Amino acid sequence: MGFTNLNFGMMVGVFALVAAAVYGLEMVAGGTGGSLLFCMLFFVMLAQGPMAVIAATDIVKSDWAVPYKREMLSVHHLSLFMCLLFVAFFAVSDLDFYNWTRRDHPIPWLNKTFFLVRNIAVFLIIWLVGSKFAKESLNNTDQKTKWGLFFVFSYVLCQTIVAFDWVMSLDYPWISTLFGVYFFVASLYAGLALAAVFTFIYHRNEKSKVSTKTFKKSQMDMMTMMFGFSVFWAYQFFSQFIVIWYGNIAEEVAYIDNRLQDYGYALFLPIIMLFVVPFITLLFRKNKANPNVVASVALLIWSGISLERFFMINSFANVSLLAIVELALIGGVFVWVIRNRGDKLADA
Amino acid sequence: MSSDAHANARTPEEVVQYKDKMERDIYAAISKPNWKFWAALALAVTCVGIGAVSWATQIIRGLGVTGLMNPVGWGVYITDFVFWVGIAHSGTLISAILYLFRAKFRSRFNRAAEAMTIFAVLTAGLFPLIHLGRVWLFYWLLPYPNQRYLWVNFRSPLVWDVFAVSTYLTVSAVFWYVGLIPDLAIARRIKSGIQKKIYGIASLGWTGTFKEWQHYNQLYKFLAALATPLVLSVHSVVSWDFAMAVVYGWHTTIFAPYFVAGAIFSGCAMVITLMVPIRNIFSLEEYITIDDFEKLAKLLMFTGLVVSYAYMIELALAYYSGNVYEQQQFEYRLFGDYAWAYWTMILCNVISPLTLFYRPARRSLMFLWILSIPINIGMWFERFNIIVISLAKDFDPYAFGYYTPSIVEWGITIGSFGWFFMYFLIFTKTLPVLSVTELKEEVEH
Repeated sequence: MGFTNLNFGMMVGVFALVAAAVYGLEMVAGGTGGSLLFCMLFFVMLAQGPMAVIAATDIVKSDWAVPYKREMLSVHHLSLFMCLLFVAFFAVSDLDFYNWTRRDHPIPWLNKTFFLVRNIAVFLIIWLVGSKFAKESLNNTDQKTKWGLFFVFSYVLCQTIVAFDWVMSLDYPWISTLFGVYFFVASLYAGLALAAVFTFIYHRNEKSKVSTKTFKKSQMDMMTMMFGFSVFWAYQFFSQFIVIWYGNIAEEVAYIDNRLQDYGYALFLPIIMLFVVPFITLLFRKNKANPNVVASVALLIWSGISLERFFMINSFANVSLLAIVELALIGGVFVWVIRNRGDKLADA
Repeated sequence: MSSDAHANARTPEEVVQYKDKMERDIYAAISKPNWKFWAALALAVTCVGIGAVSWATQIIRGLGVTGLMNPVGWGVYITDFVFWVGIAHSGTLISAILYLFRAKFRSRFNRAAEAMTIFAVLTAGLFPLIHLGRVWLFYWLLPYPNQRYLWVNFRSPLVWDVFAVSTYLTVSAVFWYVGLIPDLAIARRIKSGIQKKIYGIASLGWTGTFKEWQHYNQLYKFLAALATPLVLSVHSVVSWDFAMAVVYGWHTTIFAPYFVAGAIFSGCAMVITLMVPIRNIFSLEEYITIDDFEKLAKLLMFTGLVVSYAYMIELALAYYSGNVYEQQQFEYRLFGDYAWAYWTMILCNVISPLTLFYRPARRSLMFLWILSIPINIGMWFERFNIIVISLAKDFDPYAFGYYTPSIVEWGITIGSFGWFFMYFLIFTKTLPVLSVTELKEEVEH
């Protein structure tokens, strides 16, 4: 079934059904909403990161991502799904594990109603802008650059809100001005990892045009970009860490110190998963050309980012085994939506 | 017509003729200077003279001739240092990163931008020395064996700076020189007499064989890959001069990427400031097209938006943090004694680049050139605001103060501009301002 023929109403219905199911699960299992927050933090990257990669290539008018375009853009409606999941999350948790909800806060920004409204608003904005951009980009119109630019703006806005609201405010009054950048860079990195997974799927799919020179060239470019992002991610990580560590101010260092006490040196595992292994592996041309290797690296990157997000939120939000069920449910929706387009591309 | 368009439109014979013409046009710039060149050079040297006299005054009379005081111990000199390091950034960005990204428009700007990098680093390097006061003790910054086992403090970001900036200068200079070799060989062929000998020595016996090109391309790619992380590292280290200190307005995690984006922003503006007149004076309109400038303008617009994002986040989180010191620091920036400097920065760096969303503005060279000047001014003020305002309003009222730069500091700042432009003018008359071999290659492919 091609995505274009997919009934929009049916798709929204599935989104709503799964969001309701997740809500029900949390309520039945007595969850705090922490597991759902963990899942949302993972899937919000996949719902927006791949599109941001394509938007960036459209803005600079480069053509190396073209073979991946259709799949990468197929996620555009998933921001709406994320919005529904956010509402479910809000309903389940009532933001109880955010310490700022437990007192009258002097900063109007930290206010439950405003928290809900602004998050819904940014997700609706990115969904609408993303849908328009996906349409223009797939039709290769003159408007794609303009909408690509709008998408990048809304992407930065949405990821910044996610970083500051969903995660940073857990540790309030701890702040890091880099947190927004850190999130949208990681999201782009996760988006490129999705391209690596597509590479693997293309190569396994006999119908696809994997043998073409263009695709191989694109694959090398994508993987080079992923290599570049391993360095860039490490740069962001180090830039944040060094300032906190060197400054050695109690209220800042507590962010790292508390987590070190909870998880020990496992806290630094994401550095190996997101920088050391991808960097060394993707340094070599033959690895970048090997679909099995790049897909493995992609899975490692996703795992690394997830682990890091887990460390960020678990001390407050108490992520339970329920997260596995929710990951499967939400992941199923993602695969269902992407597959409807992936098949289309393979036939193209 | 651009070189790309030309290649598509002509027969192989015509392409050869076109390449010869290109060579003639670009090397025509390396001819006997006219009076305008001498006048410009005289102006630059005069500025250098003003700077030299100012510095001499400071050396003789001590740092007391500056406006530096307690608590503002870092003022215009450190502002100038950060400004020039920032200018140095786009050279490597345009050359190395755009090379790795295979962005063709780089070949129109890379030579001049790389030269700009080197001259800007040379200029920036003067300021830590000037700021020392007792410049004759500059070698104390370097780790060297001595009888009392005195060692520099490796935990100080200022020492990291020494290593970062000197590494950047070395790699940038090598990268620039390697890129120049084939063009120097062309100059050797074209010129005669003593010039031929000099270009001959400088071109290291380049003959343009297949093997030489193979090695050259490998080395160039390698240097580009090596230089790319340096672009990030140098200005990050410069940002940590501030961010590592526990001073409100300085100690913030976004500083590293924010400084890098700001550096690229100001560097691109300076490339436009330099290349628009060069294009006209040397009649290079055929090779540097409006389209190329438009791409540079887009880069300028993008980095401007990144910088604006950083300004916004800094302000927003100061408010969000609920930390009174942080909040007061930013209130002071917005409405305090230096509000004029802050709003100048906002006008120049946030508001004015927004005009580039309008396509005709991006395609008007006159507009771009005019816009590049306030952006450079705005970026200078950005550093001034970070450095001076944060120091002027520290934690406690007894540590508040108001710093006014003295005439000596302004004199040295003017001197730094003269120093930079003097080198650049000499460069335009001694070396090709465009990468001829790369442009030729583009015509062929």
